[in-house]
Amino acid sequence: MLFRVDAASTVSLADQIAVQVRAGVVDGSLVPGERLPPARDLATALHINMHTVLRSYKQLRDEGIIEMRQGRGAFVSLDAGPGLLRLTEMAQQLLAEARKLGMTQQDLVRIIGGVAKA
Amino acid sequence: MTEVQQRTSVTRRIAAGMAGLLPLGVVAATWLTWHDRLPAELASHWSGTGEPDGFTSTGAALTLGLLLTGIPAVIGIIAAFIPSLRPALLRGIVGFAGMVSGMGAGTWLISAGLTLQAGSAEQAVLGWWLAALMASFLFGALPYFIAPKPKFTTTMHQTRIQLGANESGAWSKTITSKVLLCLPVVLLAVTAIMFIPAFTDGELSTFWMGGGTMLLSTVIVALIAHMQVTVDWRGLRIVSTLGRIPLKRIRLEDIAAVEVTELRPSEWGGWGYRVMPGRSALIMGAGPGLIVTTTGQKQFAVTVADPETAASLLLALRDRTDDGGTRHAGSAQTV
Repeated sequence: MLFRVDAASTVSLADQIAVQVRAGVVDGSLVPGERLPPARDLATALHINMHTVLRSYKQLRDEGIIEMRQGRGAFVSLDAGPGLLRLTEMAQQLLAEARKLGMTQQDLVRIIGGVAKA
Repeated sequence: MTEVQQRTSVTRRIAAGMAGLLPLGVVAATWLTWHDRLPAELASHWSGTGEPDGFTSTGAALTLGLLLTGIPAVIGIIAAFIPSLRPALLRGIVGFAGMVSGMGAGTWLISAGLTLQAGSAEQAVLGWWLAALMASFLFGALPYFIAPKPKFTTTMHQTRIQLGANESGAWSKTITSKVLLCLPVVLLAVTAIMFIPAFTDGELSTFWMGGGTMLLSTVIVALIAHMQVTVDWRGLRIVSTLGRIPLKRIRLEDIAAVEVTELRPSEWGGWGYRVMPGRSALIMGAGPGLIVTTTGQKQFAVTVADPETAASLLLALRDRTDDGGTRHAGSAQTV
């Protein structure tokens, strides 16, 4: 897996890493269960702060793409795949649209609940 | 891996096969010159360097000598005449065949020669001939070095990943050998079976010496069963996942060339961490891999998935180091 970060980019370093992991899962260069480099190692390798890497790993964990186990590092989640990523992307769009309309997250959950019932 | 020079080395292949006939010839020639003077029995076994304690009939010793030199010679010649055989494999075959036939001829020569010299089998004193007997396997080196040298010339990797001025790149991949992963478990079980009796019998020194050696080999095998290969500003590094122990590092400035190729265990001396004159390798099985040639003309190979990316990044990072960072200003932004 190739990681590259550009300090001159307008995208934050943590987001750059997260984007590459997601892309890796989609194109199959990262398979479910595969171990990601330890945050400390990746930070040293890329000349960036370890907390930046951890921030991007946490973001990916919250999206369900990777799993982090205490003392064992980060792994690509077993159910991570193009499907999950697409769904995450759609949820992000949905949330963005809802915010534009001035709706809260709770409103959105209620709408999804209503759709599911119907 | 493409091997050039195959056409021009036909004579060397055949010469290597023919060299394997030498021990057979020596056994046959000595028998022809000695046969009417040899007694019915030859000294065939020595427990020390003094007088023999084992004897064989001359006919049996001769048969054994002819078989031990004849079979390897035939195998070596057949191998030399198979043009599709890879040079590394041919070398292995004729070298090993030479070792066996060298020992076969050595055994016959010592048995028959010493018996003849002493006049009777009972008085054939081994003495320093023991060293000659031990060294007889070295004959294998002759066909080995006559056989054409394997050439590992492949196309050098040229592609480079375009890195921006402020961009840094890091590549990482884990390599696992399923065989080596299972081996520590087997080794531990064998250790337990072998040394727990010694422990319960109270033979503690046996237990610690033997058990310790076994455990050490188990740990070493476990270390190379699962590793991480990384490429970044520190160069090419291989670290064992267990204990994060660095096993290999080639710095960017030491890299002369990188090749991406299919690696075969037979060309790198087998599986695991291999060290040979001028080259070393970490081979997990046949498959894609990298060969890095250092500025000191040493080669290091490692089997790893996606070697193209690793090679392209390695070259891009090395070029950046080479010109002391002045290239940064002119390099293209591609992200």
